[in-house]
Amino acid sequence: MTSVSANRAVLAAQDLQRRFPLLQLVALVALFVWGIVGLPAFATRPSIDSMLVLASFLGIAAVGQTIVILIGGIDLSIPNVITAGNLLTTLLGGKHWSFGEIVAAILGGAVVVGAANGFLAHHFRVPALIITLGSGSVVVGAVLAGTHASVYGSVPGWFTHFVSPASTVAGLHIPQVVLLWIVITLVVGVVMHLTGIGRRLYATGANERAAELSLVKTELVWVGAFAASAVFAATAGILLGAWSGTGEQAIGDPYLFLTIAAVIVGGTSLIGARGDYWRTVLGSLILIVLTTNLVGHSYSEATQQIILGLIILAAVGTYGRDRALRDRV
Amino acid sequence: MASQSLTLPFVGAAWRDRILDGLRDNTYVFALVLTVALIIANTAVLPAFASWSQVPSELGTLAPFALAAMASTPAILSGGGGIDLSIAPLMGLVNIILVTGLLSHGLGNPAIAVPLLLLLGGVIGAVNGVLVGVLRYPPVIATLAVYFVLGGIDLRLAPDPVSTNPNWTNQLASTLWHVPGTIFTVGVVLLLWFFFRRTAYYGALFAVGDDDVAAFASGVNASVVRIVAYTLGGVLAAVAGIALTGTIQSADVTVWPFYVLIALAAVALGGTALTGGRGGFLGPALGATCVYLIQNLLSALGIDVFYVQVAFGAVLLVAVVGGAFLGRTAQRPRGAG
Amino acid sequence: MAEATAAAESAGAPVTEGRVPLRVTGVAKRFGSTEALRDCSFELRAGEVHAILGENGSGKSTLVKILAGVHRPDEGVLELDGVEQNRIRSPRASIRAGIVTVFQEVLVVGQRSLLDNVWLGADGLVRKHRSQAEKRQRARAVLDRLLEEVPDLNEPVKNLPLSLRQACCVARALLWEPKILVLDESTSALDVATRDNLFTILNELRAGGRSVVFISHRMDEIEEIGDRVTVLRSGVSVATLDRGAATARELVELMTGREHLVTERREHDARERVRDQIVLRTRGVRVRPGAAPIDVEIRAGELVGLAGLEGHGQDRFLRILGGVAAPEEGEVVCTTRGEAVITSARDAVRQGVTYVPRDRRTESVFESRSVLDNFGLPTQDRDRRAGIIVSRKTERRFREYVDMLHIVFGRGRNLITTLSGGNQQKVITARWLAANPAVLLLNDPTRGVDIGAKHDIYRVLVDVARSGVAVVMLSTEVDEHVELMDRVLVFREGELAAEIPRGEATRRRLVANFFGERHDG
Repeated sequence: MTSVSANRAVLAAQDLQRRFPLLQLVALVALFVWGIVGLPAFATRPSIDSMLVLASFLGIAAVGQTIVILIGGIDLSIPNVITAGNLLTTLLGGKHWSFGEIVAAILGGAVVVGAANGFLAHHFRVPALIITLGSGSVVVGAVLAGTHASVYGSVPGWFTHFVSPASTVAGLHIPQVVLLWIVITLVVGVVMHLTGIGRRLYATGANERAAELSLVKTELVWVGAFAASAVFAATAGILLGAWSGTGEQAIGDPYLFLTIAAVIVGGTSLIGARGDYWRTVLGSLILIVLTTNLVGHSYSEATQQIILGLIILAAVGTYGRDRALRDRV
Repeated sequence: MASQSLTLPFVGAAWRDRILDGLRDNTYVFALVLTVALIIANTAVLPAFASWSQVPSELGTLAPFALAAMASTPAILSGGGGIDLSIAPLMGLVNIILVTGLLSHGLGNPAIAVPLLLLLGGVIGAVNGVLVGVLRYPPVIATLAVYFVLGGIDLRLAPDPVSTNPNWTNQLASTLWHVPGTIFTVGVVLLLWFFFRRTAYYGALFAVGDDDVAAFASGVNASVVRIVAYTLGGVLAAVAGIALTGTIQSADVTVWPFYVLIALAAVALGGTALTGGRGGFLGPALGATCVYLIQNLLSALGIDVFYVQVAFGAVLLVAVVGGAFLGRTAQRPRGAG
Repeated sequence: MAEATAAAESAGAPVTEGRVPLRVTGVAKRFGSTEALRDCSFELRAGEVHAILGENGSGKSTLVKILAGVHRPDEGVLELDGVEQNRIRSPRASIRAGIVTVFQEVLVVGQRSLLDNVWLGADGLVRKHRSQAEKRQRARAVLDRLLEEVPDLNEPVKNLPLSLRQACCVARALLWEPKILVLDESTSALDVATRDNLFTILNELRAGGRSVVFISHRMDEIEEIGDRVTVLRSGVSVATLDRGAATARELVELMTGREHLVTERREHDARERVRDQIVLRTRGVRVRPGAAPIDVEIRAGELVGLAGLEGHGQDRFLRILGGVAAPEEGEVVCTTRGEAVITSARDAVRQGVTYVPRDRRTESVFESRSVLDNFGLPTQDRDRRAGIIVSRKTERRFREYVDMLHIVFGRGRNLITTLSGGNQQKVITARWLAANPAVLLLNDPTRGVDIGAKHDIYRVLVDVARSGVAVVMLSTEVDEHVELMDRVLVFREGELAAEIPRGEATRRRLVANFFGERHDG
């Protein structure tokens, strides 16, 4: 009978982990402690603010990846849309477009790109992986060709301050961009958990056929999800434009594995619509603290990438694997 | 695709089956026609394209395209959402090790280097195979994670491009023993594929790729089939890496990333279904030829290299969407009004 | 009952003559919190066709999967020829041990040819064990014994009708020349001739000293072919009986613990229940190209059954009624409020026609979602206030159906997978009842559902019909048609072969109509 109670204990632990990202919180705390112990000035105000700002960029870029993974897809065009957003921000800024016009144009373009991704993937039943791989290439190639990849533009001063770790909100020591992230997190949380749209999204990811039969317009869900993904990626690109000050050809590249890792490390499963954006927030924080530690200990970017790949394997191994063949007979 | 009971004169039942089998997978016809059209277009723009002396080096440049596409195929054929995104960085790894590890340390003798590199490819392919076939990782994420790991290793080993002195790989990209060197890479692989089709494993691969549950329930060891499929892919990726070294004559991490998209576009153009259980090597090879010819055409026309990136992306999109549009099966629920 | 007990005791006594190729003792298997098998024991003799009789949810399928090596038992012993087996860990190992299984699901590789499918698994991974010529010849020989007409061996199996695909699976098993052949509901789609040929083959196997385990829930078949029958109920083998040792009624009682398979034969209340109003009708609907058009009228308060062998069009017809599939020709018209042609599921629901799909797992259940979410999804807009979905409102609505259907669950926000199959089905049924339908379509709703849940569902269906809802239900359980329905529409070859009113619906007559046999009396 002990095997039964052991079984029950395992099920209870899995259930708890499903509801509450305990493992992730422990990991975050552990990494933070590692930082304090191993690196001087890790826990100083500027250092923490920097980490929060970087986490904001990642977190915002990863909103879309979270949503898309929840419905059973993946978005490989995020890094390219980030790069495109970044290049266009500085280019158009240099051409003296107003900030509002720049944002409207870039986000509008992102909506179109993302909607096309979602439509093509769903309507033609082609894996989103492939569609976003292709569209990402088209987008970044077009923008690079258009901007000739060398961009020295300009960004409004207040915007540079917005993304600076030194900025504050109403006297509180929260960088302004972090406040934006917090607001986004709250809005996304409300939409996903409390609205009809969110329920339909989860239903589509959990069982698309059943969702269709339950009158969910799954095509709209896909179009909307990928459009949102592109919009958030473009937003991150715009913010990065302020952060770096110039347009960079490869600025978005690390965000491919970073956004995917943030979602997975946070505990969202790749199959079956299990997870949410809170977890990705945690995942983003974990990743930034981890990479800060790694950089502090002089690990190269290449090594960081290797480590992240292994972490993804470990995380998916814990809660992301398919059913065994014998259970599908 | 109903086949009538066909009696062909002078041809026994066994041969008839082989012919029918060959025709059954005629999804590559489109790629074949497109290849011909592109060859004509390329020659029209640049007559030197068709000159006999240029062919070996053109084939040499084509080789990594075709091999990357063929390397991606076994994983796709094995079904269950099968795909191998780690082919490209593995190509890169082989390229880098060959240049910086072997050739520069006097170990470049092909008799040593080739088996070693093929073994490396096989081992990494096997890792993918175990992740997917035994541990049941979704193939996308398993190979994507391996992609990240290999990419990081590539970057560590060769942060800057390293040229190599003239060596035997150069002949693979031009002429070897009076024939185009590509015969020894792509040609050999295609020949092996031809014999591979007669093996017992071949039937098992397609059964598992089409319906792994049915295969498993009938006693086929689906896990082993998938491990072998990904291992084969790894070995072919190593061949691709060697061919790549032949053309670029250096270790360069900025080159292999393009092959992710190229390989998938080639497979899609060649008509191989991404769901598994259908296809072969001829389709991807022809698809890769189309992709190569498109790139060649664009650069011959003097078009900005960034537009080539746009073109590749567009080709991939058109190929997969077109393929899905033409060939398909699924009954979808009529939920939407 | 006394005879049954005595027979069971004698079946348990050691066999002095003849081998015992298979002995199953005390086998139990659980999946998560569900106990699929609790205590299953039986003995298979040489040269015998041993039937396993049980309802859906009795553990039959799990038993089959254990014999086939797909699952390993948690408790209990399997013995082959007296030797305890614990190496049967895969279908491959099971086949090597001499047990070949034909599964309930027709498992074929669609894009491969009939020849390849019939030999699936026979070759190793390295070497082919037979030449192509030998394969062709032996395949043709087996198919010839099974089928009246052998189709082209090169034909991709996906192009063949379900009955031929099922025959392919049977042929595949026969080619192994197994010591023990396990057939799990393997005749559900076979036509008469093929089924008779199969029984002839089974007799030959029996005469040759081989054994067959024949799983079914059709008593008519078991009477015909079974030497002995073991009855499974709720995961326990309750009795093993010789042929003819028990009457049908006694078998039913063993299977269900009650006298009737479905329910007490109800008062024929149709006259009060069925209204004049026609709510749904079909005009010239063709289920397949070339099939005869079907014109049917469904009235409010009616209980209509759809029946037939698997793959004969009744499933498609039901889905056409619900707007989930498109007819080859013709249209479905809903006449609850004026006349409206149904062209999609969305249309259908808007008009008050809701559809409960057959395969819970792939078509109904959102496994990663809670019980409440699974219930409320199509009707969630009713719980909306200022854009936010208020769970409390969903809970309140759900409560009504919990009471109606006796749904057993912990908390509304628990995952739906914590519920038993029967309770999950109830939640799904509640989902569609909540849409206040005028017509409720159900596709084999008691599949994989335990007895208690079944009775709850039957009761609710009758109550719902009494309140004026038209209920159209496809069922593979003949007794459900006999005891519940006002009339039964029998399908054959994609056409409406017979319409049998309640007064004439007997088990024998229905089955005869499945096969197109003439039945008198």
